[in-house]
Amino acid sequence: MSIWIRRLIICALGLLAGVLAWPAMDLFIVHQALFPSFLVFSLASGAVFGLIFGLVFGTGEGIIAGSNRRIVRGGLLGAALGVVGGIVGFLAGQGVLFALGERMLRSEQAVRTVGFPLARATGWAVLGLFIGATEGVRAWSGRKTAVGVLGGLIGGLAGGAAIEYGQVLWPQLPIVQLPGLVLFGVLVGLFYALVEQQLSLGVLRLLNGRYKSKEFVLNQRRVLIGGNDSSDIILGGYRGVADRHARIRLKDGELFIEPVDAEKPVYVNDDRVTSRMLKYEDVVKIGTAKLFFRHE
Amino acid sequence: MQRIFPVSVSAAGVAGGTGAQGAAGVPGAPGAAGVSSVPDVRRIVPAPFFLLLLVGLFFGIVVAPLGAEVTISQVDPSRLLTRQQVDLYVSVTDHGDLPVEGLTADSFRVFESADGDRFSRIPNHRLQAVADVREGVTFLLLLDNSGSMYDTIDDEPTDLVEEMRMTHAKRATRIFLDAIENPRDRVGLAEFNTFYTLHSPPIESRVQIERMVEAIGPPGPGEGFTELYAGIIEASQEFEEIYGRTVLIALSDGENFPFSVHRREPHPVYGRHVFTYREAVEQLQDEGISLFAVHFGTEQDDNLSEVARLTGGRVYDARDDQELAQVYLDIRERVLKEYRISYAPTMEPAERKWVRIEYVDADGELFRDTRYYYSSTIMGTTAMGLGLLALIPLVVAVGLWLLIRKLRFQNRAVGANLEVIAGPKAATRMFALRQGQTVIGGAENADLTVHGSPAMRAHHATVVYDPRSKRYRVESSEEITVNNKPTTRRELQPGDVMNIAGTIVVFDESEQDGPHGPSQDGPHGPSQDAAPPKRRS
Repeated sequence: MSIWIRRLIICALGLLAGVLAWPAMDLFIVHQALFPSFLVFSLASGAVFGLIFGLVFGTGEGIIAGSNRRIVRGGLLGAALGVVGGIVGFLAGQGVLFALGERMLRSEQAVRTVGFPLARATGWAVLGLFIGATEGVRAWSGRKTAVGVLGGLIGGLAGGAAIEYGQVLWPQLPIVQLPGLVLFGVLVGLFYALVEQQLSLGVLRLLNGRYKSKEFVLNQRRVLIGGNDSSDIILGGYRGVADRHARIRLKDGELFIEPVDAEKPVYVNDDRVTSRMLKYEDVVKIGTAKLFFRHE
Repeated sequence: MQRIFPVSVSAAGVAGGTGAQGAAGVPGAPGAAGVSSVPDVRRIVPAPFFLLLLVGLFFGIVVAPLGAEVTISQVDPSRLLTRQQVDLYVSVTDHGDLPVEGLTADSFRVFESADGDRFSRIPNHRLQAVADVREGVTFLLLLDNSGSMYDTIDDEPTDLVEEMRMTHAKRATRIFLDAIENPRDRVGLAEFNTFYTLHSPPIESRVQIERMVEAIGPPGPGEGFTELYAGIIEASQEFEEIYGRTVLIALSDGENFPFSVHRREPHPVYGRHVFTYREAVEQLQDEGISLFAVHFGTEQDDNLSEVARLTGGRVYDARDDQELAQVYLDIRERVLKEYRISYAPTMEPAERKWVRIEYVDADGELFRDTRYYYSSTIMGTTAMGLGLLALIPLVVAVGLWLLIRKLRFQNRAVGANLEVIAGPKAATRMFALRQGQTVIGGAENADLTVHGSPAMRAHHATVVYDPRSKRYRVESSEEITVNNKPTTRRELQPGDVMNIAGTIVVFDESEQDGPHGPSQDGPHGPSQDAAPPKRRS
């Protein structure tokens, strides 16, 4: 699976999360009057939207890695972070709305069509931020979290603006919320991927075996390579690969590969190494798996 | 402000009151016809009260005979999200235009509407008699510093500082500052002439403000115009970050006298834009600020009284520092005698909600005022009401997820193959290998032709199948690298990477099945450009 397929999958997950969120949004608006306060309404709607987007996006890395365990863990963590993000995002967005709303209602049309959507998009952006952070938190990687936060924030802002402009341009067409939400999901996925690309330290491409052509983006300070699900790069089905076989560390801006312990051989360009700085076009061999290190 | 006489309705009362504050405070509201439709309340002030007004005039204070009314000076929804509370600052005056004190929550009724048409009563509103003792009131003093402020009160030029209007104004301002008792009150200072200048945003230190007032000097050449409306608009923007009761006190000795109109050239800051009093009204209402305007001299700006009235303020006239000091104190007293009404708003979806206050005075006369505030949520207000149809997107989404989940993206290539992953024409392509020889080079008759690489020879390297060992090896007359090791002949393992004159070629063969027999590609095999790829990564 090339990086582009990986990105397509993330965007597709965003799309289906948007489809899933649409009926939820409809329900919330229809039953808004049943809520006791704007605070409870914002908490509940933020939690539900965060849950949906977080859950769906959270399963992404597991699907890409082909690991059920990671799907479950990622999904649960994504749901939890999504709930937090949704609540924070919607409260922030609602606060901004109320703060700016009075002013903008009386303002010129031009201000209204810019200010309102941007105010609402702020809330969606914060939600996107938390969704983007999910995988980084799961992998306990500050760098990856930063990638997700930035990607999610930009995507959330763009997607939130899309939702709002749909309503501004076609106010009498409630179904416009569906493409808006779908676009939100897709843009969060897309910007996550774009930021990931920009901040990538390189890519490892599998050259042989079951997962030949699969590519792994290196955007963490520590990357564990091994045969089991807890690894960042899973080499399941390759002979001679230990559960925890090798790790890649970022030191002074350079990536170094080393075996987890001395008994587990790691080869770079056919030389067995204890620690080796990776250069582009290096060929890494772990068990029977061979990986090509290249620039993003 | 809308005033209604419930019994034996007078025509003047009804006609004058229709949609009054709706129009005033709510442009675009149902029944509203814009600021210009605001009734001239002077027409409906009962005659005996002119006597009171004359008394007021005698004391030189209140000029605008506004009469009895209830006015929502400010809607403060800043606690809407955190406490489900909207605060209304309401002033109630009697027919003598004096603040009505001692009212209770029962004196008022609160209504709310999502469409500006159907109002429903809000129960359990709370009332605080002294609006802002705890939070304080924020004043911004906006002083006219045009050239005429350095004339006498009677518009005579003078060199005597003591006779100048500005000297009186400064003295009166000091009295006002000294009279502020609540340590939580904040005061800011700005001046205007041709330009607007902020000396201090609202702060709690009166001493600092006093010093700044003293430091105000005469305008320079070209600065003597009276950009009154522009000054009010700019000053009101100083309140943007401030919650609670906010009051702008503008002191001017003349009419709006814009630079661009009278100089017939663009204003250095505002260009050719000429600010109108309506813009000032909108801006003040946007910020929820009341304008208290003080005419200080022989000339006055007629529109200022309208601006003040529509923003819950007052207009005064003063002719010396004593009167001016009295005006300042009156403003402060009026603000402190406002009522703060707090209520829990409804949750109906709406971009804006209209709130209406009704008050019945001791004579059974009903007064009402309507304003609106913004109440939309992050999700907007339009819904389809999907009902059971909601199941469709639900099923579609879950189905799509399961479909994505099923994707495995596993390598299904069988047999040996070469894959070009980088080179002059860098599209990744994969080619099945035959037994026998596969020539890689720049020539058209090579089995795998690589274009665009000047260093590539016609037949640069050959991948050879050895039937005895059942393994492939690469041979080359020129030095190539395999896994970055220089070589001219080497046996290939799955995943080995060959760099042939800058083109990266990966050799692979199915590990599970071992080397395979000849492929069915025909005798010449594929060419990178001529033949379609067998598989794509």
